[in-house]
Amino acid sequence: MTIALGIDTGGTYTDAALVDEGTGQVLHSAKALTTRWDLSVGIGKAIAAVLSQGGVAASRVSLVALSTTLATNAIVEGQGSPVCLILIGYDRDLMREFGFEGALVTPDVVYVRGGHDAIGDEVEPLDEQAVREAVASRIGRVAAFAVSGYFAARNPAHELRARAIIEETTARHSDDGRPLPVTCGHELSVRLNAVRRATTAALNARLIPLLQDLISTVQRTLAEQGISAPLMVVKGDGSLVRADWAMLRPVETILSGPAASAVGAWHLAGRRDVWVVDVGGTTTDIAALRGGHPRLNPEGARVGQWQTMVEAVDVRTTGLGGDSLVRLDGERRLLIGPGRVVPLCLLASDHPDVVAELERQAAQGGDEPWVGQFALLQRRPVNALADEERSLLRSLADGPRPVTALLREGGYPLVALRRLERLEALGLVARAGFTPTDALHVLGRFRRWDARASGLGAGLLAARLGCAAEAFCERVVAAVSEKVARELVTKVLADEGVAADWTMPALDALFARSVGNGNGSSLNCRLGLREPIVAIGAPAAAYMPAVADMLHTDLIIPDHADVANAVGAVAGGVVQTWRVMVQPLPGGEAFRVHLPGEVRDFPTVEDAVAYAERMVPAELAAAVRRAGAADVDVHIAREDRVAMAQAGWGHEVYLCTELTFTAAGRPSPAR
Amino acid sequence: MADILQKIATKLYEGEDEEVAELVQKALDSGLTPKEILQDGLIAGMDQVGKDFKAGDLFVPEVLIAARAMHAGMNVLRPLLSASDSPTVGKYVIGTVKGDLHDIGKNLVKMMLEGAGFETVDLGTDVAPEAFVQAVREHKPRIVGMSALLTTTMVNMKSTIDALNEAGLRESVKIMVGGAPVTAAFAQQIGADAYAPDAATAVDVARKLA
Repeated sequence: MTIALGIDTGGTYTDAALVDEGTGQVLHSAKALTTRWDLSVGIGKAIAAVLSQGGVAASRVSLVALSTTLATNAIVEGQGSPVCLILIGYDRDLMREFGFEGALVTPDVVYVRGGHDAIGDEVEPLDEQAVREAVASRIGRVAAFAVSGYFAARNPAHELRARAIIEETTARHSDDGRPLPVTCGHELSVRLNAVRRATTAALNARLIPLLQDLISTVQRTLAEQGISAPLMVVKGDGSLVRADWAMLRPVETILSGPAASAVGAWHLAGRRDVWVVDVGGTTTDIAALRGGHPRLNPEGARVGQWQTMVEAVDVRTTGLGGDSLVRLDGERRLLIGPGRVVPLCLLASDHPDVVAELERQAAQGGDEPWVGQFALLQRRPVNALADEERSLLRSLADGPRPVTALLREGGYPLVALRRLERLEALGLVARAGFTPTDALHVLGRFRRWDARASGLGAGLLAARLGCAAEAFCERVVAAVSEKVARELVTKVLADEGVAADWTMPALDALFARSVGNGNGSSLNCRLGLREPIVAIGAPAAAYMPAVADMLHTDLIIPDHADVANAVGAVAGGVVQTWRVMVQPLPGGEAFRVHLPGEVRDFPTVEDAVAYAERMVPAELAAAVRRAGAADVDVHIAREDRVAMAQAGWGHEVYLCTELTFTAAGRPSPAR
Repeated sequence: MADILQKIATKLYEGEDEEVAELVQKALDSGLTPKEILQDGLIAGMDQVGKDFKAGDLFVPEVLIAARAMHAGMNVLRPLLSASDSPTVGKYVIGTVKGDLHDIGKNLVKMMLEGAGFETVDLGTDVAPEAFVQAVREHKPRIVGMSALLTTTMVNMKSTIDALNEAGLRESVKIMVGGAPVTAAFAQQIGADAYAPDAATAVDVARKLA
């Protein structure tokens, strides 16, 4: 029996699951808290826990697959290494006038002459000297280069030549003779939009050193645990690639967590067409699974402020989960999320003192929004901080303290609050407060940590509303379910091309009536989904049955739903897709095929297609083997784009032929 | 008062350019505002031309002559129309695609658009994809209209859309295509936003897109 180890680093937990590769059964699973400042710490704990729990010898693990939020988080938080972006044949004035320079990720951008046109003809020769000079002047100042050529999707010759120059120059100047990493736009997408290819290439280059660090620390962790199996990484489409390949294409791992959860849902529930709802600690992610594959976003994934061209799972993410902060606004309306905090019950089980403080606050009463909240130290600062920030950190050295006290000591409360929020954004301080997880503890539906703290926190909020703690907790749980139901309907509509504007009173009222909050309305509304919901994630069982009731839809909560992401990590295959286009040249006398590495002309469309079908499969199969696949199958899909001319004008008009080559295999156990 | 506006519309319909110019001047002298004259005289007349052309009661030469009369009237009004009076519905870049020298249909659409209050930028014929990109960059129009009269040049409509996509400008404009051999299915295949079978319809479609 061979065993695969799946690991998922989520916003709150790092999950590990051992899966029997033969039967697909989940053998054991374990969780550890995610350690944001060094993911390998949490990964190491999760692996150790799952191995010891199952009594499985490390040597029996034959494959390790990791889905990680590293790339997504790094992009959202603006982390990464300094990179230089070289743009070939771009119109600088146009880029500036239309504000496209703001989409280039790095401030270090060099425009050089060159580039191609729509049919892949050279517009201008590449200015090799300019590339050489740009690279030479950046030795020691950047960690990687990105190159994007105008119409490189139709002819990559200039990007490839620029890469050769960069590699040659940087290798000459490096101590070990190794070149700096170079990302070319055409490798990441062959779709048209020079701005977005540049964005994608620059993001990729910036992430390379980060992902290299993560992978080498994970590999060290695996070695420490005695695991010698190859490491693979989940891409945003749910498929796997070998770690060394992922290091070159880190941007393709964005959304790998949601993709793994969708694949895991399919694996665990055995259903190929479902809506996958992953309720986590930090967020709730909704994706469509069709034919066993996560539905991808054809526009390319949007991460943070960047529109990329990475074809990743089309996931709708909401800042709503078990650890979302529950609070009341100025008009005492119930707000849940999007911020994530440490639940009071968890805080109290590590720091029992907070119970006394909560009792004191309950006795005293208070209407401040941050009653019942605490701040606690996360890690030591690495960068310089202001004096006030350092003194705030010092005051937390002996354990968590109530936010009310910190604000009293910090001069003006609002200034002190901003200071606290900045330290939270830097990951130095975490907030603790009342969460839906606490509500479940109060109601006795979940018992892991200190329910006394949860009860006191609920009491503080309930007092402000003038209701009992239990009734308040029921309201919180119902509100989470209703919010998930609303997000699910929003996602279904979005996939059908409709933007749901919930600020429209009629829409909001119809939704409220259909989920049973109609207050005796005469309208009898029902909403339902055609495909069942598969709910995964640790707190799914607490919230999702009510969601399914509201939406009159079947619900599947599979066994091991709490570690579906980790299971999904090892359930994916290794897949690579190449797109090849054939288009007519002016005059219609010849046809040009645009291959990943070359362009070539033929007298007929069929000659061009035959050439592609002869050349591509072997090259692609070799590439997918390098990406870690065994037993590779290559599939070709052909679409001829032809439109009829107006009647009386005779012939049809041939536009182009699109060939999609997909190579898929199972993860190879060979290192 | 309304009489003279009616007369402008009628003379415009008949293509009497000199008379239209004189009548516009007379209307101004009588105290009518340039906006009223434009809206209820010139544009009203041009609208009727469009309707009858669509119905098959007028033919291309008659439309061209009416458009010439429209221009004659506009020449008198233009200096007097302040920016706020001008009923510009939007900027419209128009041209016949690369390799194609036909311009009658394109000119007709242009004149009808101007009659409907669009501000047009005419790139002429045999316009390369890159020239469309540069025009969008320079004029930042709402709509780009492309014409082709040959099945062999229709494919250059796709090349032009490809070029706008590559430049990152595709989402900043709406694209309309037309010309005798062009069909709605073709427009959809190449990713255009709209197709119009004739000049009068082109105005309706453009109004919807703007």
